[in-house]
Amino acid sequence: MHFRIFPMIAASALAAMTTCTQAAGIEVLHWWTTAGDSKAVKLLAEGVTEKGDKWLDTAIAGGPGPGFQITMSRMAAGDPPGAVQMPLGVRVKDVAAEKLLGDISDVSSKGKWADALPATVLRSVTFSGKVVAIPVTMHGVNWLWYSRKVLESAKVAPPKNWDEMMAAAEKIKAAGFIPFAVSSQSWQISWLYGNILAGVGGRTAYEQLAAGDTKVFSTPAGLKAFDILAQIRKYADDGQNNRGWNANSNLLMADKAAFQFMGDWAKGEFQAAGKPAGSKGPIGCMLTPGTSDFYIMMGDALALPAAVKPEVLAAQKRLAETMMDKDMQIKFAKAKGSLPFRTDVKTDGFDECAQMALKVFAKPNGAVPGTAMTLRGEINGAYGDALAKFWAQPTSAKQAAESVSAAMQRAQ
Amino acid sequence: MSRLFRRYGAAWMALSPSVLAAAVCFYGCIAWMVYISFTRSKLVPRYDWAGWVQYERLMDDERWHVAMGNLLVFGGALIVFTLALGFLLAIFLDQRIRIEGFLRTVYMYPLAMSFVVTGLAWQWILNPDFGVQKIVRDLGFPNFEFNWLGSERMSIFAILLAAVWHGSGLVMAILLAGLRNIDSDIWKATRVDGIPTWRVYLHIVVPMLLPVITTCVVLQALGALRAYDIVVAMTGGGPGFSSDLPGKFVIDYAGERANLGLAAAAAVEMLLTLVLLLVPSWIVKFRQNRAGTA
Repeated sequence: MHFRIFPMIAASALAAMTTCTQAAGIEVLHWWTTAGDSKAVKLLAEGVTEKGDKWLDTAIAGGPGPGFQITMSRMAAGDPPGAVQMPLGVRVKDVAAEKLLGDISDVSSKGKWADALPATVLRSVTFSGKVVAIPVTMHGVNWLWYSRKVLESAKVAPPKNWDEMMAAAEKIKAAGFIPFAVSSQSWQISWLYGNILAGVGGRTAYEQLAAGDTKVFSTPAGLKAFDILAQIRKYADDGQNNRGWNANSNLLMADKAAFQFMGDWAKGEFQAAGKPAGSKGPIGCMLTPGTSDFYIMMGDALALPAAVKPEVLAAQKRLAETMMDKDMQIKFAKAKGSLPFRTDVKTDGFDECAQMALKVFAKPNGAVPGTAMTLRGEINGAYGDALAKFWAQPTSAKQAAESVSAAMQRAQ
Repeated sequence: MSRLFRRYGAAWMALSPSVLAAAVCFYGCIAWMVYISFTRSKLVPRYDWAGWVQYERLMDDERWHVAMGNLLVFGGALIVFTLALGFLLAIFLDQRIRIEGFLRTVYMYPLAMSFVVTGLAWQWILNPDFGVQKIVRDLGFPNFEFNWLGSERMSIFAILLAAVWHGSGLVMAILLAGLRNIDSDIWKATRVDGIPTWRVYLHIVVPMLLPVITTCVVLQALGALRAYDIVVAMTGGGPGFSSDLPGKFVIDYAGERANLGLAAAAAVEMLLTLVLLLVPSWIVKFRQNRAGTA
């Protein structure tokens, strides 16, 4: 107890810097700040306002890193926001295990969430019998986007496997375009590796990675994935350093680059820019080669901090009702490029890419939880660091397998 | 005792809030952080003693070594370059030129910008696709290469470039104020003696400005140690983690990677580095005080 006071003071000083207004209503801390994301958030804010709550927006421009740090400081200081964005999965559980999240079980039982949500999703927002977070929207990671115009100009067809992909890259480069809109940012590289591994080694290899089993790197599939990653690296343009994913999406929309490996939030970005993805639009969508029968998923949740005032708790419950409303699940997902978590909503209004994903998702074992859901922050970070290093200076696949697994084991 | 209280009581009462604030906020938090660095705290603080585990982990963490090595290069070069550039600018402005007020504002402007804006602007300037490299190539030098952001060896110098641009104005302002304080009689005397201007600066002005220069060195050293946002905005620590600095390492682990123990251990090592950097300036001050009383 004695020691508790210092982190509190430090944290409240930080909190005082970050938020100055604290009126009645519900403060939502999030980092949905790109064009598609903020459109979706605006819809949710409107829904909350309609129910009579004031939406206090605390958008963190720096993404999950600073966002999570501010969240933890505010919680330690006893001044948590009303709701905070968090990736669905292990992060929510870890925070809940510290008794920092509240309980909205009554909303979930009243709203019959158990009937509406896939069991894995409901389980991932439940901690020791209490529902501690709202499942917001579901994303897929193993997407490949392409500029139709660039592919036509280079006279290549959308590739079906990785060999075709590399042959296409060569032709695209010869035609004067950037084959892959990639970035040196560590999370983008590590997700790309995950997608390649899933394509080469199938579902089981990916599940091994998601479980944090580092032996997967030295399997034939793991080694081949490093080779493919190094090949993609060769085609990267000079401007790839620290380039944001949305800037990569822009390269496709400007018909400067051919392919982008990115989750379906990129679709929200295409849509917000008036260049929707689909068989008729300027941007084509497909699952990355070799992953057409499963969907690597990750989800966004809004975690609900404990230790809030009664009126905030009431507002949290109304927020949960609003977010889980069937219309809202659809509207939000459409704006953001994602899919609704609710399985009981009409999906015929969704675009072609989403329809494709829904079909895959409905297959037995069609949904595979992604590393973003399963790997703890530290291990995920070490994995990203090691892969970014490989990207900067590709080594042999064998050496890469050793260094990546050593880095991850150190972080265990 | 009561006489002492009568004499200093009011002063103590006026000072006590700030003394208390300093004790709790600075030294209390430092003590807490040092303690946390000896625990296995992950997401939230834990208080079970774990010994040197976190320091041992830092010892064989390649990224930490890169970050500390970068700090030495970056910090040292930042001090040297901002001082050199700031001093030259200050001497230039001290020539009583006509548009001094305007130029002073121009040189100080970079400081008004946050590191995030500075970092983004320089990221664009250095971007090989549309920055300097592209411009020079378009001017008719198609083989011109300037891609520091993409080079593991040069990326930290790209950040240095932006930081020097950002910090030189402040050094200039501080040194200019120092130069203005130098008695004009000294200048007259040296002129009578026929001493060349450069020697006056080197052998008379610089020693007289030593306390001001020390201030600048400390300010820049702190800036280098604290650097975080400029790294995030410019390179994100990359390529790989070649442009990482300790500040970014600590924030990564204290935040998203949720390992408070390791972050605290790294922060303690940063603090020790700072103390080592400050010792020379303490010695300078100590000598001055002694010279003053002797």
